[in-house]
Amino acid sequence: MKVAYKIVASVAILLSLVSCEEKLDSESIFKDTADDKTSYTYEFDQYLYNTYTLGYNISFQYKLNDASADMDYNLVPVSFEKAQMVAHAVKYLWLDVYDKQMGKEFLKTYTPRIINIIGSPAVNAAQHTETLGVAEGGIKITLYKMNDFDLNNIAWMNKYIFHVMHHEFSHILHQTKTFPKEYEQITAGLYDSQAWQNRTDAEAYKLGFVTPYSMSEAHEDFVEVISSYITDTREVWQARGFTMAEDHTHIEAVNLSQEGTEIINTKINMCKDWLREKYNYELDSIRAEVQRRQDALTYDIVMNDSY
Amino acid sequence: MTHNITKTALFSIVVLGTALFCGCNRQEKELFDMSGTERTEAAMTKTAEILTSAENGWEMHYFTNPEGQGHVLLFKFEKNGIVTIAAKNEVTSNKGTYKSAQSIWAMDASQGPVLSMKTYNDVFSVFADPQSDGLGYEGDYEFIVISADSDQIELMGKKNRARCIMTPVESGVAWDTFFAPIDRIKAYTFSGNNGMQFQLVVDDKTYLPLEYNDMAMTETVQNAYVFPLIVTRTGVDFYDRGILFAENQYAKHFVLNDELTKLVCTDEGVNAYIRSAFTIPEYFHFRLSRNNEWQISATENGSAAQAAYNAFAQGLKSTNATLNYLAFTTKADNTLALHIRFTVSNQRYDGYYTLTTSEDGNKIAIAYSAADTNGEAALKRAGGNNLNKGIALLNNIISGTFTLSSVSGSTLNIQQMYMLNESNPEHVLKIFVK
Repeated sequence: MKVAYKIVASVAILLSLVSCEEKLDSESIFKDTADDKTSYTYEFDQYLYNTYTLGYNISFQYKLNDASADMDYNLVPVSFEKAQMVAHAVKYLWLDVYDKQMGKEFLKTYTPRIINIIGSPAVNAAQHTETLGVAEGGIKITLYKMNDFDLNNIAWMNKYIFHVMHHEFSHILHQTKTFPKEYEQITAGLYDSQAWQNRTDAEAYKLGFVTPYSMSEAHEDFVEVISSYITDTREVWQARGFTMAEDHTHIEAVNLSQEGTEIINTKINMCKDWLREKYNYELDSIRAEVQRRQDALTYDIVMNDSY
Repeated sequence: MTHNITKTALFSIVVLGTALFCGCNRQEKELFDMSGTERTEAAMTKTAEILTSAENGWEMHYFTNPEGQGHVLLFKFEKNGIVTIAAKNEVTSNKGTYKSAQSIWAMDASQGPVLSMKTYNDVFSVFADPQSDGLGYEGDYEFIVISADSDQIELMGKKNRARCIMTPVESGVAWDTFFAPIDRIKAYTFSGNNGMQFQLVVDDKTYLPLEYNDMAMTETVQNAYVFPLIVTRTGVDFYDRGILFAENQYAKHFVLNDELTKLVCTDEGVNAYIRSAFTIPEYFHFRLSRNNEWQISATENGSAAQAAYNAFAQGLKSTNATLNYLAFTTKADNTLALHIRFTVSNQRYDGYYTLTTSEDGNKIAIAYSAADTNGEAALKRAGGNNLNKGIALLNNIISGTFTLSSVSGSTLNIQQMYMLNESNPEHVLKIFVK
């Protein structure tokens, strides 16, 4: 009898579960404008699909919607013209660099899956601060202020795009493989997550940091060193009071009184060693390729993907 | 026995209970013919068709947020995803000139159809731009479609929640001249009119005092309610339900009457209008009572008045003095006077003339009476060291019986006035609040 009870009860439970099954159509009902040949943006959307999505498993998003934006901010979309420039510039100074130096699979594996570009800055109305870019869990990078994009201004592009991208990409790399613990010891005791913004550039350099933000925390320091090393021109290093060595392998002090040189070089070398060991990633090669491309950059080369 | 009954009861409860979970049976009849996503898709398609079907586009009455200014914008949606947006105001063009720009639009889904401005538009996006304070005009780039048919589309900004209405633009109306009637209404009503006092008159009783500032009226009884407004081609519309003038009673749509004296409410069942709180002569004196002066224009007077003004200024110039301005003002005893400011060798002087005046409605008779020391010095200089000649030159400008009227032509915008000399239609002084 007990067995009968159990059988009947089990069947009833199973039946109740089966009755809740629902088949969902795997195809989205919403049309993708990338497939709409009548769309004004069809050609560019196809370019993005072929270059970014098929090439690197990246969704390059330029058409603003609140689902992909931070609703805390008042924002405006990027212009269609600037979106095209940014897409080509990111290919030229980001995708193609890694493609050449590391191979396609490296980016496909580690790159953020979404690059989202916004026209306006993200201004915090209460604090009057401005966010340059945001990375969300290694999945998505959002770049702001893209309506001010200037293809002739390397410094602007590095500040608002490529420094941010190398910074966030480096986070993904050190989060994927063990972070070098000894790096945290180089300037241990100098990190201050609360008051780093009160430091001037000059104070940061003297203490062995490439930017004030580097002083917020060791992981931030690590990725700031990598992104600065890759993107910054000799002129930028000189403005910091350093100079890039002729062979582009280390920095030197402009004069002997420049403190911090040795510490920054120690950090650079540790980044190089770790990237080489973990990813077979030659930081000097990436920097050299980026600098070559920055020097050769013209509107036609970038927009025609003809480098 | 008791044990068996309990077991049977428990078994029955388990079986019946589980059977009750079968409620999500697919055989249950749907409340709608289509699924939620299908209905949303259908609504998006229908809205897109409506948006693109208006041959001459749509007129949008756009309030950037529930407290924001209203602006008239024109939209033309194309099926290929391009939208052309036009406007003529100081926000989209710093000189307030007509401007149009193209960008990309699309329909999105978010618990219903959403009209989304996908890329930056040089006319429209400025309303959502955060600017340096992070707020800007607090406009939107996405709009929830509340309702849509070929006659009207109602939208609501997705972030800032302001409702706005779109109606089709009549075919044959050229976009670049579309805004001319709006400019005219603005000139008759609110251009340069910040701080002006108005009254909402309901059922021919003065009901609510209002003060105009930056495309909004504030009731000045409690200063608790601000009513944002938009200037239309025929008058003024207020945001949302309009001006709250009594419990649950609102006045929203107004048209300017042909006499240019009031904005008349066209809402069904509402007998109301907005008028200036002052007649023209009342306002002339009101500004003086607030320690303002009515300055005579140096360049925009009628030909006879301008010639007289120029002769007086030239007289001063011939003695190396510069006329800075002449302005009607009041003396300590509240009588009308004339203020002269002039400069000699970089030294500024202020003089005052006592006037003899009399008033009758819009008419005011003025004649020179006396001068203080600086005033007399100016008259002597103007007359080539001849006081009487100087007085005559001044009288040529300000003496006579004048009729006051507004420069705008309406009695709603009276910040600038004309003084027409009865004896000579070319003798018109233009005066403005200084």
